[in-house]
Amino acid sequence: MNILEVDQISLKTGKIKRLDRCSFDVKSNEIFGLMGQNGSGKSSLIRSILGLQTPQQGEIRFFCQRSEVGYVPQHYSFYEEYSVERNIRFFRNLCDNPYSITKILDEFELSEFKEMKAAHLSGGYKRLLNMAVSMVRPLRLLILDEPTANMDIFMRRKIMSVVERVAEGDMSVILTTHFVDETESYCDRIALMASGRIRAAGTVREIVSQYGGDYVIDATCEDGERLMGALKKAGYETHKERHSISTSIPHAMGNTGIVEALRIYSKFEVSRLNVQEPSLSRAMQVLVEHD
Amino acid sequence: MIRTLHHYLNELRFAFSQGFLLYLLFLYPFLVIMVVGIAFQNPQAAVAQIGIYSEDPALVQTMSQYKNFHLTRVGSAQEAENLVRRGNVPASFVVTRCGPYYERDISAGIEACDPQLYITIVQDPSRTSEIGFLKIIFDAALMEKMTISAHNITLVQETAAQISRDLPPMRRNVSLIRDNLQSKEDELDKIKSEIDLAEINRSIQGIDNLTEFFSITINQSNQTQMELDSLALKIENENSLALRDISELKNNELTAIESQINIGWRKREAYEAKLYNYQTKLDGLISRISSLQNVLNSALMYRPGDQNVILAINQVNTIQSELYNTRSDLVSAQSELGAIDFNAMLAKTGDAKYAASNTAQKIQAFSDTSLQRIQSAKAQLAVFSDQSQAIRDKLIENRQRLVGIYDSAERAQGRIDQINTEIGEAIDNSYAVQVRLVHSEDLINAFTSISPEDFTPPQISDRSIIQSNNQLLFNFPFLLLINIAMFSLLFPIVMTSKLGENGVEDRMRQQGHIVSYLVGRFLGLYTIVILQTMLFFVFASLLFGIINFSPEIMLQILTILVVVLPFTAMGFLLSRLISKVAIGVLVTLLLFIPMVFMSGKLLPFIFMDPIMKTLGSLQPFSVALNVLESAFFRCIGFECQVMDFLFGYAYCLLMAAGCLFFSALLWTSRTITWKTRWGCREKK
Repeated sequence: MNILEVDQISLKTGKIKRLDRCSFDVKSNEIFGLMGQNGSGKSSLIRSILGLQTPQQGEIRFFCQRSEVGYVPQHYSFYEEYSVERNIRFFRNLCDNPYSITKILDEFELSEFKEMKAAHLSGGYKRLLNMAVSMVRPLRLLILDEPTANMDIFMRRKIMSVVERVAEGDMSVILTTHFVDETESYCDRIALMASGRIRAAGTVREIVSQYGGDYVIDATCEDGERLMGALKKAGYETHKERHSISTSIPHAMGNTGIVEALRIYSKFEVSRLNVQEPSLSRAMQVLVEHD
Repeated sequence: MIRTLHHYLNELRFAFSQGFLLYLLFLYPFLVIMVVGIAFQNPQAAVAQIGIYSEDPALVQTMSQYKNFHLTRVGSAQEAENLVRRGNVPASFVVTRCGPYYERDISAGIEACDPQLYITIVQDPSRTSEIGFLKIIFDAALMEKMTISAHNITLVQETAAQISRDLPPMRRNVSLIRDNLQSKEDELDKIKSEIDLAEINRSIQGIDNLTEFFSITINQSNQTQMELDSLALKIENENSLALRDISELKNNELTAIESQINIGWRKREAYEAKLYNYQTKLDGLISRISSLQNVLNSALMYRPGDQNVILAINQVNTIQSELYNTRSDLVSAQSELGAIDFNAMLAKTGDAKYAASNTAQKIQAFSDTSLQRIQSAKAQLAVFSDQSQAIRDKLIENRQRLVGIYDSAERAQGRIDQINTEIGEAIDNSYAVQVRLVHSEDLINAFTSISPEDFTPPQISDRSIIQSNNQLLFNFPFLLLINIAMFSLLFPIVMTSKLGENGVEDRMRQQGHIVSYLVGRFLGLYTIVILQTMLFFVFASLLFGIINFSPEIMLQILTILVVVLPFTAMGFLLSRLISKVAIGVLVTLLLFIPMVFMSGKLLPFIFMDPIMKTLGSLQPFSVALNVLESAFFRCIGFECQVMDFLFGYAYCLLMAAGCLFFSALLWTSRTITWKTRWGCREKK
């Protein structure tokens, strides 16, 4: 069951085309990732979905009420002059059926800072507060615009674990991010964006299998010429760069192909061996380069 | 409603969390009031030197009691003006009951307080900022003067009684004047009848005819001169042709004939010589024939009957006779040739050439004579034409004079008619005046019989701003409004920019609830602006006592509350359009400074172009200032300024409503989600 359907959205500001016929849907209880490089149109798409910008074409269908949609902007959007609790209290007061302040503070691990002025929080906790003030009421869809940008690895994990936790209920999440590992780890489905268009959409596995490239075995061998001969004889595409020999194994051959290739490698004295799997970052690179 | 309240309280909380606001709210009003208060509390500076010319001594007496200015009395309006021109006083009042200042009074706008007095404020244009202050003082002075007038009613009654006594002789004078007017009317009628316009008209017509005649004559003369020129040209042309024909053609022909004659003559001489030669030869042949005859005769004699000789003798005889005949013909031809008279022929040819030459001379002489006569005729015609021209010009000049005389005469007749009509009306009126005089006498008698206590003095407030020398009071509404306008325009922009910067605006837009957000925020901003305004009010009262807590204070506070509204709403609307504080400051200055300059306070309206004056008086700052000044200064009779207050309040409320409406419109237009469908149902 879908919570959101985006249908052929196009957005132009002046003469610049920000979005070009973008379509995707978000299902209930899933985390949907929007990936793309800077300027690919992720934030414009989010703002168009939220009605902060009006697209020229297309339609956006929410299968919930406006009050059931939460938005966490990229920048801190709370009152830095207020305390943490005051901020949560204010935004909570604007909602119908809000959660209790204590619950919100606990949920976002802000209880110990509740008296602290928001301006004095660290960057990571500011980000958590930013999320907290968006989630002071029951939501069915939460939209996060780069929630982990400029965060260290620990804070990123903390934020994403919070996202994962809140998404466990009856809530869908759309998040935009640059980080492949986050997407691979947390997103059920993703859409890859480049130049305002959605180039690919689906599960991570689907996208990787389609665009993530072949398995590549990269090795250094003293007797390189013979190794290359043996691999070519077995039907593998091989090429040499200085001392390094790379062998591509088509995705379709899967593990069998890798095992067979490694068997050949094992007959030679190999000083270094590395097996690269098809990946999302390669898929992204391929799609961006293709664009 | 609750949401609006939350937004309202949050706006206040957010504003107070800003450090700069504490300065703006508390320190700034205090500093301004302190500086301006000290500046205007100087007792020396409080006394203004004012020149006055008044036809109402009571008014001058009233005004001289006031502490705010020192009056310099002068004897005429001109002197009052001269005082200002010489720089002795910054301004003069000219108060007349009627006369040339009537038109100027209207622009001063004070006559409404007392329709019987016409007041002009003569002002040094370089010191125009004081004019509003002078007007305020004058307003109050007039109102207080009315009180004195009411209490001086006994004096008026005595004067009225005196007038009543003077009325019967006036009635008699009116009769005398009427008789006099009647006689003058008759005289004028007589003068009018003596002016004969028809005769002047006929003279003009006669001159017109003569002028026309001379014009025709001049034209004909000019035409004749042209014809004479043409004739002279023709004579000259034909004369030259005739002369050429005679002197050249004929002479050439005759000379050719003469040469032919000479040739013939020479040929005849040649033929004569040849004929003589032939004659001589014939004579020789004849003599030789005669000799031959003799020989033949001798031969016959020797040979008689010889036939050959006889035949020869016969033929020789025949030849001899033919020779004689030929000689005879030759002689005859000689004589005929000699008979031709070439001399006579040459003489005749010479005569012919002489005759031709003579004819050419005659033609030349005739031509010269004709041209001389034509030139003479032309000269005479030119003289005649000039004389005719001069006469015609003279006639035209005389005609113009006559036309002028005609117009003057006609105007004189018209004026006589008008004067007669006026005299007729005056005569008619004189009867009415006499009736009115009788009626006035009755009224005055009735008036003088009433006791002074029966008159109710005008209702005025016991609060007199004139009695105070606190100049801050006069400048307070302007000072207050400057701060209200500046702060109201800028503060919403600053606050909204801060909210925009920290992303709260985006969050609010995403959440919807437009009305509660806009209304809550506006009320919050309005409260803070009011707070600052009230602090001005309180500081000014506590520090310099500008407010005496009279019943009008409620009206003053209400007016402040209303006046703040449009400016805050304008600032709120601008904050929707401007997202950066720097641009907001710039736009505020661009808006604020012209409003202040066009408010009529710094640059008075009476010196402005009428259209700009109207525009200036209808702009928010002017309307707000007007209603504030009304609340602070003109509370003496609120009922006489109800319309001012109603207009001012309505203007402020409408302006605020309009700005808020457009703010909401702008907000909505940026969050239109017409591409978005909320609450859709999953298709089965």
